[in-house]
Amino acid sequence: MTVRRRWSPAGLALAAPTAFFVIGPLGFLMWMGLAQERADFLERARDLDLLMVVGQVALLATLTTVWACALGVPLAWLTVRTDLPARRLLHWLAPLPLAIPPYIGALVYQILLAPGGMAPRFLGTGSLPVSLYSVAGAAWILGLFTYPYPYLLVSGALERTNPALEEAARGAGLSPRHVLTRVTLPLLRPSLLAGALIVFLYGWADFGVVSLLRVRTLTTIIYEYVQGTLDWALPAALSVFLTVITILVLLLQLRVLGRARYTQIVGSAKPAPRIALGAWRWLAFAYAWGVLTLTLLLPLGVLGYQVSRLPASDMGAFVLTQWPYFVNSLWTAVAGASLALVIALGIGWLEGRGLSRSVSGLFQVGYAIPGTVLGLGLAGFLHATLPWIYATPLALIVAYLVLYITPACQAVKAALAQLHPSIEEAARSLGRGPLAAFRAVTLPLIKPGLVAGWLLVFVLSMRELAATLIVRPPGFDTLPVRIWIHAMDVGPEPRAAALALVLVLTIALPWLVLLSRRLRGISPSV
Amino acid sequence: MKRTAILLLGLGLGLSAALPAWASASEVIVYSARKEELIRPALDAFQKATGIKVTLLSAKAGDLARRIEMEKSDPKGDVFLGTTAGIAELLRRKGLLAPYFSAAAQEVPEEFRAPDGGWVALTGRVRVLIYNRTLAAERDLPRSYFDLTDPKWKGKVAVASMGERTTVSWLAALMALRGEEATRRYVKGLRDNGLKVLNNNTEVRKAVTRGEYAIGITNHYYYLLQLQEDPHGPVGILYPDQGPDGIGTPVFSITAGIIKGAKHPDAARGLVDFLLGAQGNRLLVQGEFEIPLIAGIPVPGEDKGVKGLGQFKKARVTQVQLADLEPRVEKLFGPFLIP
Repeated sequence: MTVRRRWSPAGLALAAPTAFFVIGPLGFLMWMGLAQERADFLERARDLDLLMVVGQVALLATLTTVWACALGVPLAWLTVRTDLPARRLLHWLAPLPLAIPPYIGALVYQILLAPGGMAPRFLGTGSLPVSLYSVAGAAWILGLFTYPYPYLLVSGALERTNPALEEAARGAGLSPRHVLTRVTLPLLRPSLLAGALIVFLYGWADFGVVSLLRVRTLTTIIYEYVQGTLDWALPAALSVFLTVITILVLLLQLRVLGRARYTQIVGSAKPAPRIALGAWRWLAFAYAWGVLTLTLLLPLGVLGYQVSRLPASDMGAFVLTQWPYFVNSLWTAVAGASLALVIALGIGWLEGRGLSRSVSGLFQVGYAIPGTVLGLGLAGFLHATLPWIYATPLALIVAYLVLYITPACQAVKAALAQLHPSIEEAARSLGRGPLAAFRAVTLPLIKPGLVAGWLLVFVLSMRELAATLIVRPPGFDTLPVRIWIHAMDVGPEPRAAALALVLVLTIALPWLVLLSRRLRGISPSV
Repeated sequence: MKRTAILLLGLGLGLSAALPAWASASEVIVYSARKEELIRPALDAFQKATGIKVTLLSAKAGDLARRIEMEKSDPKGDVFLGTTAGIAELLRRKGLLAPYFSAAAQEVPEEFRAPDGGWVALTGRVRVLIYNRTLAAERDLPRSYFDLTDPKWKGKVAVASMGERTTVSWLAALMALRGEEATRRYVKGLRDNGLKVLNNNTEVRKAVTRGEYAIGITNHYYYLLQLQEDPHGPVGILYPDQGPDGIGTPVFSITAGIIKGAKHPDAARGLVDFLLGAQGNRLLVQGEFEIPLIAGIPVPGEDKGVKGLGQFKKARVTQVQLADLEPRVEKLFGPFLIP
């Protein structure tokens, strides 16, 4: 790959508008934040314990990462490399918790573990020794519902790793433990780091879970000022502060990942032999099902139970009244995913398989900044520059695009990477025009990867909450917004649960399609 | 091909659902900071009576006010419904609300109206204390907000965050009656005594009833909402500062203002008239469990200890005075009013 690449005009024409929507909102916030007096900001920063809050967010993101990896990585190894009973089923089920947005997970665990919830009532105590309303509680939830990221990446890497390397190590006399620590783990390092960093960024930028669980973070502080006051300057200044730290985190991450990215083993002659777990089999089995119980079966069960508490006819009538919101969610997510994929594909194809680093870095800022910040900046920016988009459903689509163009580009890049340029060139040499060659040869080959990328952006857009709350037009609520309104107005009650269940099932459906086709290895890697 | 068909179908469905909301001429767009479920009955009745479609944007007051300010060159909303007078008054001062003197508004006491007709209060809410009957014995109960700094209540008092404007208005009321210094000392005392800030008033009522906290500083209708949800829950209501030297209990209000430059001014005025009229106001008061400001409408929950205007010692502070002090409260105490 060349370091300096010239952009084709067409590629630039595709990348520039998206970049415009990333830079614009941030620029707008910076401009509004300038109105904030420095002395006053410092005083309020002190009152807000801002440094402590940053430390708390870092702690939260770290705990979340450790917990998610502890759940996902052993599970990946067990399902891919051992003779774990029912490993096929487990391998198929393990990514499904991605269909449960963490804020819905938080609602579920509130019903279960909060004071007065099911578990304390069952145990006959008022509350549990460790409160759910804490950094630990938030990390618990976030880890439970983000572990599929490390799981998918690590299991994919394990499937691709050439077993000959491990065999050679064993042949050289290494003990099984040393094979693991000296060969297998170093080979897994890039995927493991990539998975861990996705989770870290998720914990870093989360709004829904920390807000429900009353953990003070920069996002919740900004949200409180946006909700409670007419003040622009302070939330804008805080947003800029948060964005700057996020960019620092991203740069740090690029360094770590940059170092870790060495040649992956391409393909392997034969699948790795499965390790016989022997007596450990059933313990491993219990562990695997334990993970799935906490992240999938229990949440679905609790939601189902909550729904069943209202008479079926009432519930049915209620769900029917929510149909317009469902449609709002559906078509904006479909439009957002399609637009993101078309742009990503155009850029990927025109620019020879990938973005220049500066543009992909810029897109990543869109992916990493919290939705609350993006929403605030985007609303102001659109109103100032493109008022015909402001307060229309298009604003939501733009928000999805800015937030999720990175996973779309990643999916396109992964799909195109499997393709040698000579294939398309061969078609061209046989007399096809560039577009015809693309349609006849390239597109069919990369289609599975594109479908996977589209579904991913669709799923992420369907469940987006924080930015949507701020940029939605009047009368155009989405399903997550309705869940939020119900949960905040009355708590995690049957109707919030019903909407949550509808959302989860809608998201899970394409995932099931995706997974049943065994299209793996594509996830929103950073 | 199939996928394209599904995609097109989805888009078509979406547009068919979204179009009426934009295209309808007889419509009124309400920016409401009020809990949706509670005002729905009144809004539905208006829609039924007039055939004017009510489109609702439910969000917190600050968010809505920021939108109104941003949209002033091309307003998207018609009516603003605030949970206190404070934000409405700030909007009025910025010239973002259009004066409207509804004939029905003359029934509302003068202190609950903007002098220039920029906004008018629809219903009232009283800043009470709720308590857990199991955790706080009747004779031990505090008599004043200022008793809550007593070590007896250490770690046992909860309040909603500043996202709930009534929390800001409450401190503004104390500041108006006792001065800034005393209020600062009081807030510090509360914090030192372990005051817990929760996300919203719903969490306050639930946490107090569950026994996580003995006392909640909240609005009176949360007591009734809690009893509606759980009729035998151990929750009680008390009106603080009623004694001869007490400051009285502040009353806030749901306010309606017409947004300047509204696209549907007639429908907006019609809605305000309706919500102040006998039928609409009664529905509003009943749906929200608020106290009426207009004579002749029954007080919901009177049998459960809720008192109407004139039945308790009301803090002597006007809605405009509260609005004056709220920005100061935000600045001084905002950072401590976040969970």
